[in-house]
Amino acid sequence: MVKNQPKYIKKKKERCFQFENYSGKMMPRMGPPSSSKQEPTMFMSFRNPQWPANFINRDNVLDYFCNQGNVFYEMNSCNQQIKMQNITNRSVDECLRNMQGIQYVLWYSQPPLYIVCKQRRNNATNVSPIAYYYVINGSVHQAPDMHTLVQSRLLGALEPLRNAFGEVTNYSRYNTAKGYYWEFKNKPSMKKKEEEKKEEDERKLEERSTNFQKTRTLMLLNQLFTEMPADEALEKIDVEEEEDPKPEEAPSTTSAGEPKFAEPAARATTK
Amino acid sequence: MSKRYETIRHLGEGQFANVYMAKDLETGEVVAIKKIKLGSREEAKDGINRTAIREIKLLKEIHHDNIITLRDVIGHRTSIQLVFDFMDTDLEHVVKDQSIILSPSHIKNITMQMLLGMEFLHTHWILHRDLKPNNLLLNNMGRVKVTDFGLARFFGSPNRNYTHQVVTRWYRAPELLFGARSYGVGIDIWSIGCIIAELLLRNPIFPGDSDIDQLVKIFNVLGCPTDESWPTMKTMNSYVNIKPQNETPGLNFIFSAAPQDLIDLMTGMWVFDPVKRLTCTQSLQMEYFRAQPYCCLDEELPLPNKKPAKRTRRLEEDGSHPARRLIFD
Amino acid sequence: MYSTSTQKREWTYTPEKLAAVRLETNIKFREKYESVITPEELELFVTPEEELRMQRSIEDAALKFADKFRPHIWPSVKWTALAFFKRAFLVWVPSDTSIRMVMMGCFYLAMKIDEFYITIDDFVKNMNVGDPRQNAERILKLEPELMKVLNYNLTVHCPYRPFEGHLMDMKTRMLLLNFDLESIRRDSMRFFQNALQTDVLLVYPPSQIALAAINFGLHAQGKSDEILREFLRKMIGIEEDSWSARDVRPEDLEKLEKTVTRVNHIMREVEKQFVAVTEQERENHKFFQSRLSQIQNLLPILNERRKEAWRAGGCIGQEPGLVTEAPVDSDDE
Repeated sequence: MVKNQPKYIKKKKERCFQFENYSGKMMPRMGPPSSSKQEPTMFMSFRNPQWPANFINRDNVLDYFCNQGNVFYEMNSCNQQIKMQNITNRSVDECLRNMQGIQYVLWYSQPPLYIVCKQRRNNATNVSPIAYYYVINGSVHQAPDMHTLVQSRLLGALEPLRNAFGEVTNYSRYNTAKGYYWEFKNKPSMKKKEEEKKEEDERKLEERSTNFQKTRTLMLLNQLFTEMPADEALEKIDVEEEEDPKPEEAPSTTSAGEPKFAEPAARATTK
Repeated sequence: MSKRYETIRHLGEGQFANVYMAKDLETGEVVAIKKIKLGSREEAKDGINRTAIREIKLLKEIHHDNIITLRDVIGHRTSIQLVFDFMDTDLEHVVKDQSIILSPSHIKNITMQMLLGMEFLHTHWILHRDLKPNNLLLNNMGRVKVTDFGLARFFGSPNRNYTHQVVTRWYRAPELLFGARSYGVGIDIWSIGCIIAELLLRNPIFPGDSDIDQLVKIFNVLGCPTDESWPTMKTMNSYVNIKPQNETPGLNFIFSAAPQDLIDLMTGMWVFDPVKRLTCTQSLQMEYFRAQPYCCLDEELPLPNKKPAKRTRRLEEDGSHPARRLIFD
Repeated sequence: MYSTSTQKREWTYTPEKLAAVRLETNIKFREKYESVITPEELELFVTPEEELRMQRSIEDAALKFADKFRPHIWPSVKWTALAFFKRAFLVWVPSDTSIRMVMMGCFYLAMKIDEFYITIDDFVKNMNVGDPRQNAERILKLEPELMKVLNYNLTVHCPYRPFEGHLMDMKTRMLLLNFDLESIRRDSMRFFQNALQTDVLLVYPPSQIALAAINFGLHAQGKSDEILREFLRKMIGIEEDSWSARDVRPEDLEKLEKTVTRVNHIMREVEKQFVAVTEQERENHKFFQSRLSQIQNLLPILNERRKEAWRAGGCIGQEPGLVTEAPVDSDDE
């Protein structure tokens, strides 16, 4: 396996090439389950330009998700086994129930939002969830797990604070007679310029969000929040919550590497 | 005299034989009895059917878990009866049954058993020459056994030519399609590759409807052989130059859910040059069998839910489906 | 694979055992009729030695038949047919069957076994005695019986393949031979032909018979055992080099000597057992034939007597001469 790995990844890369221009980055395709942890899937997304977003519905969203180009989709999953084996006269759900291994199921659907759950089925009645994915307006994102979310929020709060302290130290003066005092002069610091620039960037980003994102998603997410508070979502799982959703390897610098393609969902809720 | 076998029911009828399910009163086991018709019928005008003779000749010599056992032969004035292990179903029924999903570990198990049986045959210098899903039987213990030695023969004699009209077309190796007269274990390996593919896709991978179409179907998947990859190709009796239709999609695309080690195995079984093709022994040493997921337990292998009321496979061979028709020597 | 074959397991004997089996078969046949036969009639019955001589002369005729057969048959068909024939007459007795027909049946079956394709009509065209249609009928009727008496062990390992293999090995491993190895082929084939009229194929494994044929060919070319010895040394893996010779395992040397002895033994056996069938022998054969037909005419009468005796004895036990097999199922069409 190890020997074959490079060839394998190369092949997969080629396969998702067509989506490269959209996601901006070319990510090596997920390998076997074990190696997927190392990849910063949180920053990735998938969209199939051949499917108009409004064609996606409750019945076909899994078909949309189960695409060879989808970075979140494992090709050796049960779903793909069923596809490869040309099982056509049975429902996917029914097939999946009798299989073991990685499976993708539709978890929640409120058009245009769909949530796909990636789970490991141990037997007919026992499954352990591994990750959740949003499919919204044809884009697929991974739902952050608690660890990533908290880390991201903390970083988001700490970074401006740190900057502020950094900025403020520039103006603090000390003198044996006076002790500590502030000295503000007119010359704007280099830092400030950068800050401004960044803000501009951010504004640009905001402007980039589509009307769809601004209007429909906000409504949706509010509704989602009331319907499905985070703790309840976990209870729905029919397994004991032995494990949190897979602690995704959190990106070390959330703010620094802000992707061009930020998650509209997260943005909408915070504002 | 007491009869040793008691007929339970008729299982099917073919051109040369009737097959019955029977009980061995000595051991209490269920057996399958193939009763070969003798007498002055048109088919039997040259005496005992050659395919039956081949089966007796070869199966009397070999005993292996993954090869059907010829338990007994009963001679009678009007028939010769071959007593075999009773097997519940065959891989063709498994493949066609949509209520079964074959998991990777099922497929690995079946492939392994198939290869073990064939390895044994090949080390005993026997070519099967007609491997296909319905010649691989499966019993309710999950044991896979190679059957139907009607076309099998010893190989390895120098200066002996063999007919290339063997192996049901869909499972026929390219050298046979090119009319090769001397061939070896490669033809069986090719068929095994096709059977693995059929387990994965649940459909035949190369369903050609003529010999030429068969080659085209093969080349569309595997690309065209070149002088480099198969130097002796152009010396074959009925070599024809076939241009590839277009780019091949690649095995990874066709067997989308198959792990790379399995793709490697199949690639090795489908090497065009029979000399460079894998042997059974080499196949069994491939990474595929050492990697997870491992083979499932034999008894976990799925069986079709409803057993076929009558095994009609013998009938099919008589030509109801032209593409699957066997051409006897 | 010879080592696991039915040939080795069920059809290879020591010379003593072979003689014993033949004697037993002969006695069994006599015993069957002993109670009802008159001493004059018993005179007609043949001894095992006479049976064997009959077999030999039939074999001789069969080999001539095989050589004249059209289309040409390959040698292994001949070998297989004669092996069947010899095996069959370890169970049957010539008095009970048409020995010539059995030989034809053996040939016909051997052709099927060896994938030599011929129809029964083309086969009987090669027989110059009797009516073709009747011949065909008799051969086909014999076929299942023959298979049964052979216990359905239909694979015969012939020495021709190991012969080619040994020869090829010799050519590649012994580059210093200063003569053409192919020159031994004619004599070796003659050896096989002679061996067919002996018991060696019921006693020795085919690869050793092949070695004997090679050695026979070598002798005919004026060579000594040394070439064979050297070849075997290479096969077994014994170094000739005097330095490494010290490392030779004694069991290897023993194996070498055993094989050489065995090969010479086979050669002697063939020489001893093979007697070119002379005119005298042919005369004898005619005499035997007439004796056999006398016996065969007598058998129905004897059988009738046995039945009577059985009835007179109160019908105890199995009725003589009744076929005792039962079909698996009753739906014979």
